[in-house]
Amino acid sequence: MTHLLFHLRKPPHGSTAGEEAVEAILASSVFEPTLTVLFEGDGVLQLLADQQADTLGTRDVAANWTALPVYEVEDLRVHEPSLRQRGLSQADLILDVSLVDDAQMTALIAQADQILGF
Amino acid sequence: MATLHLINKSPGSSDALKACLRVIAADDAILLIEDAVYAALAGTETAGTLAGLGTALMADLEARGLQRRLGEGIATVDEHGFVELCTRCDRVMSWF
Repeated sequence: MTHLLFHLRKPPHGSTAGEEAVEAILASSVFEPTLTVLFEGDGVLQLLADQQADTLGTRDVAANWTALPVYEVEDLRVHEPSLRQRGLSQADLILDVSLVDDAQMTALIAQADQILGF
Repeated sequence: MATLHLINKSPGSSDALKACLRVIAADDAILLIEDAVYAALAGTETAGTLAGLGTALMADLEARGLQRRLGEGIATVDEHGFVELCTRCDRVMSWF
């Protein structure tokens, strides 16, 4: 069994990294039950509530993330210092996540067999 | 060696190196490629931080005129060294 770590560090809207990550995560979850999704840096903005996709005429990218718990991808971590640097807290996010500090992120990296960056 | 952290953006255009340094483990390594080799420029704050910790890809240094302006304690590798570094580590983390 391979432990996959999906590392999100790009914000939504500026690129399709978030959508690609969701697709890769859902596809991987079929084969690898042990996967962790880590939101760090601007990646924490993927989960920000109140994003209004219709103003840009694009799909609701934030809503894509809500599919994860539905498909039993539930190990979702957010780097707390990244959140704090942006003036945000867990209450601003659309999903129920676990917050990690620097040391816990270091441990997550060390546990992973493969790390996929988005 | 545990994790090889790959960085490809200059410290002026991306916080990737800084973010990586926050969470790096004691036995990890950092390899600077593409524009990230500017972080190895002698006299800069990032070069000081990377002494004894960072490695830069020679071809990318040479292409940017940095081969004689490399910060002290920063190692260099060619493409073969890059591959060898990858195989010696348990995992590779790309901060792109």
